[in-house]
Amino acid sequence: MTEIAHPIDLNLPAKLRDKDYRQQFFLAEASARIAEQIIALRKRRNLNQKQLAERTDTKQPAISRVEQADYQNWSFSSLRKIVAALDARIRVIIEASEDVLPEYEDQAEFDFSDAPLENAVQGASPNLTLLLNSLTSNWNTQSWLGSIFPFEGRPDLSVQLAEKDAEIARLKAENKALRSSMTISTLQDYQIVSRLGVAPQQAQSGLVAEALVE
Amino acid sequence: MAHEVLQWPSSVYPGEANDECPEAIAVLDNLLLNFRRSGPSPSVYKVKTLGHKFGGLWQINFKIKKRQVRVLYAPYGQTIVLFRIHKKGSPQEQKRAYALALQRKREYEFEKKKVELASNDGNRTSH
Repeated sequence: MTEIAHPIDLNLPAKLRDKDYRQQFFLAEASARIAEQIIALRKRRNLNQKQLAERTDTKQPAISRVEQADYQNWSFSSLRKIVAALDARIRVIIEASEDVLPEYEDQAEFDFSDAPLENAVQGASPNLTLLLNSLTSNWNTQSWLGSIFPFEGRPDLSVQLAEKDAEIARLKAENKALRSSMTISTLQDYQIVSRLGVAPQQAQSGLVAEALVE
Repeated sequence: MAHEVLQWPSSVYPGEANDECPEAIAVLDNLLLNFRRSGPSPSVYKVKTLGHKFGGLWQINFKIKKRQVRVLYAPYGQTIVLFRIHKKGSPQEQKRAYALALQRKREYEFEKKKVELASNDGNRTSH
């Protein structure tokens, strides 16, 4: 189909160099993620907003507000109340901006939704590679990917995949558990999983892709 | 499935968004990433479909620094097209924003149809 609308360049890497912008961006991102997780868990517990409100001694509109991406007035005690009512744990990760900025550069540089699949798969996070690899214990990354696209004429790709396989073998040798489920948290992983047609229902941001390995 | 987020015309983002609500850019960027990941109806935003009267426009409102920002858009399969981003003002301003978004939506659909028809004609003559 012919598309005539204009693309949108978010230009995240350049914008994130500005400290004020990145503080706002990270806050907006965190707020959206908190809301997303509360909604997902509330639904998993088969609760509606009113029922959750009753369990937290508050009113339904308050729950509705905290389930919005633009709610930024979080207090730790109110979050703790909601999380306790949902029988869950809070895990806080504070990361230095210089450690996380490369994630956004990756997202901005490549739009994996249209990239050739072999390029897209190269952008998979190690967790996704491990997850996909654990679909069956007999598969390794090379054979799994080999079933999707041919390696002929791409020795560079073969080397990279061999390195990934070596890493997986090392983890296995060290008896480190291979994760059999993961949270789809990066755009690349989401797009890869979507394009492979694997459990697209589950492959939404923030949801655990457990169905992939069942 | 991942969605593609586009604009019509090319001045909507960042142009008009920067002019009207520069303080909302970081939140808007997050919203656009959410569109790409989750499609036109991300669960954590107040999404409203405006119905036939507004030509099938969709809207998202969010608050930033006590002001409401409104995004008017429409989904077309796996594509989401933004038509207008503005700070919510008086009822008259809101009316103007809806009218502009609707006019842009119609213009986009008309131009798209034209291109598709031209391309179909081209295919037919080549057979």
